[in-house]
Amino acid sequence: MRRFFAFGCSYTSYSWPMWANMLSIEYDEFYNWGLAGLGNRAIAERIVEAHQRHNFTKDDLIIVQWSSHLRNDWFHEYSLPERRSKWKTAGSIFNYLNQSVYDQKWVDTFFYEPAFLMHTLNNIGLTQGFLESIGCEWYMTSIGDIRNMGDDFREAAGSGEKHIYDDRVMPEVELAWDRLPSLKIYEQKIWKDRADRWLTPLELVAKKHLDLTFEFDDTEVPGGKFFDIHPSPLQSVCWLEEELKDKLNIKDTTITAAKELATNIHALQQNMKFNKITFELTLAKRIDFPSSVKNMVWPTWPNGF
Amino acid sequence: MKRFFAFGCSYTNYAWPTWANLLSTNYDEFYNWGLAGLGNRAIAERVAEANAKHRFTKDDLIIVQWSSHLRNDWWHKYSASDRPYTWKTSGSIFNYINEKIYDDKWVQLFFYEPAYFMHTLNHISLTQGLLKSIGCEWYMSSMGDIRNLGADLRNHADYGELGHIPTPFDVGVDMLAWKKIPELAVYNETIWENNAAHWLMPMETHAQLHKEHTYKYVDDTIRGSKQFVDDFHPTPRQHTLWIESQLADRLCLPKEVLDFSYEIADRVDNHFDKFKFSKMQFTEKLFNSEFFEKKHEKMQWPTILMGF
Repeated sequence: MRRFFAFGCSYTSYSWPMWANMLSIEYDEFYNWGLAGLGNRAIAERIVEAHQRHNFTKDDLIIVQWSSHLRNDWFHEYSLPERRSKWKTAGSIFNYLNQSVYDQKWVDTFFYEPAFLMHTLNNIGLTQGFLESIGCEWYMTSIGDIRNMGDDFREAAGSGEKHIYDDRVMPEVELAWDRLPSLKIYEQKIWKDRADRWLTPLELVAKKHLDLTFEFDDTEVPGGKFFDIHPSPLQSVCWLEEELKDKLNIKDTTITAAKELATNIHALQQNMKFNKITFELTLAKRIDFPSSVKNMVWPTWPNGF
Repeated sequence: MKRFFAFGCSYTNYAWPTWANLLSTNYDEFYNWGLAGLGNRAIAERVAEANAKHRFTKDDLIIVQWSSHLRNDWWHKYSASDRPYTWKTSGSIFNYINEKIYDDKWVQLFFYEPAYFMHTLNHISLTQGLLKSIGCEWYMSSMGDIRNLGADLRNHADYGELGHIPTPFDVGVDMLAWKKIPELAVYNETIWENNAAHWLMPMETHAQLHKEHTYKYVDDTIRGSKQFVDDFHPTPRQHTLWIESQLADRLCLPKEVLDFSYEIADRVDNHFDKFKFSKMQFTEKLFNSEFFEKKHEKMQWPTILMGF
């Protein structure tokens, strides 16, 4: 029996099927521990929590999708009850959702971007060791390349995921080592020693297929439109084919099923682009899902405490 | 060549030689990554940082001392500039040093004790995984037993290390955490039972067996302090007794290591007897390069600050 565990943020668990859901067709059991808005500490912590509950073995497949270093993870049973998850992160410290949470005093006291990147690197290093100690098959990916500090994310209004350095003269890759050379000590252990474990960042593959990005009407701005930069189903299929098909020996029938599903969802989105929420609610009823994906687990309930 | 890496808080790196410094004489290289005031997330992160920097190997000895779940770790180059380190934690959220940092609004919004305890458990587990993947020799200890939520620590109210969960009736209740937060009891097997051979007796628990060696002095580093107070950090003698009881057999320590350690303990104790009226004078003299003799040079103390 083969189990597949996915970890990450909304790039792993979202309001339409993502790469993890599509890949789940291949496995006997699937656990989607992705949770929208999470930062990298929470992602690492949830891997440990999942191990307590499911007792990982060497036969499991575990794929971790890292998010952004600009997120401050915290868990609370009671505060901010309007946030449904007990992990209250909700994306970047600097996004529009968090404006009332992080005032200037908080930012001045607790936020120092090089340290937040260091925390991310430490959590990745710890997690790699943890997964190696299990002996399972594991891979890692991310939204953009962690070493680009968010600079390779597409612009999304109000998301606050770009690094905060305002000097626009920047190297095209590995911005982190250029700006924070002392942190380059992590390069060898995290990336070079484990090059075969890293998959191309999801956002980079999505950018190669820009025309497949979902666009919706902005219901609050007459005539306005916005892109949802979360990988669309067809972008997820591209990523699966390019990054995992060979590594995992994914069956052709699985890819075909994922493509059929994605094509149907894109058709639905074309008809409902006037309102993202209406589209999401309709999609949740699994209308027009082909029979070939009847075993695909989506939507999933949030796992964990 | 055998390298020894120690991680922890002030129980590992302090104003007098700790277990780590005393043990260091047995090794070719010694790196004390202990830092006063750290919480468990920072301790775990510093293990990862040290691995990136020193590239641990299977020949290394690594000992991690965990602190308390009530500490909020943060790192900043500029803020709280009165604090000497870039890790700004400075002990419990609820201690007197942190009163100005964490106001009621902050505590209500961000602090939830079961979550803080969960974070500690997750970071211990991550660290265990990393150390296992290296294949090195490793051990873990802590101040009190992590599972007792601080209820087994000798406490000054000012230190704030007793959380909100334990009540006065809970002192002495073993593994209090699993009774108070039963959903987290799933961690007991993977962290403790499966790694029993790697856990050493908590330092505070051991020190309480040898209370007579605890230092009591006038802590004139705190303004207005004129009364004798206990310093609950294990003394060099308590550290030596801990090494003897917990590590001598496991590490096959030569007799000379313990003899040396007791010699240091004698020297510091004698000095303490003369200067107990002033913590400042007591520790300043210790830091004086002439305090220890030439033959004590093989012990690395004080140590340079490791890490970012």
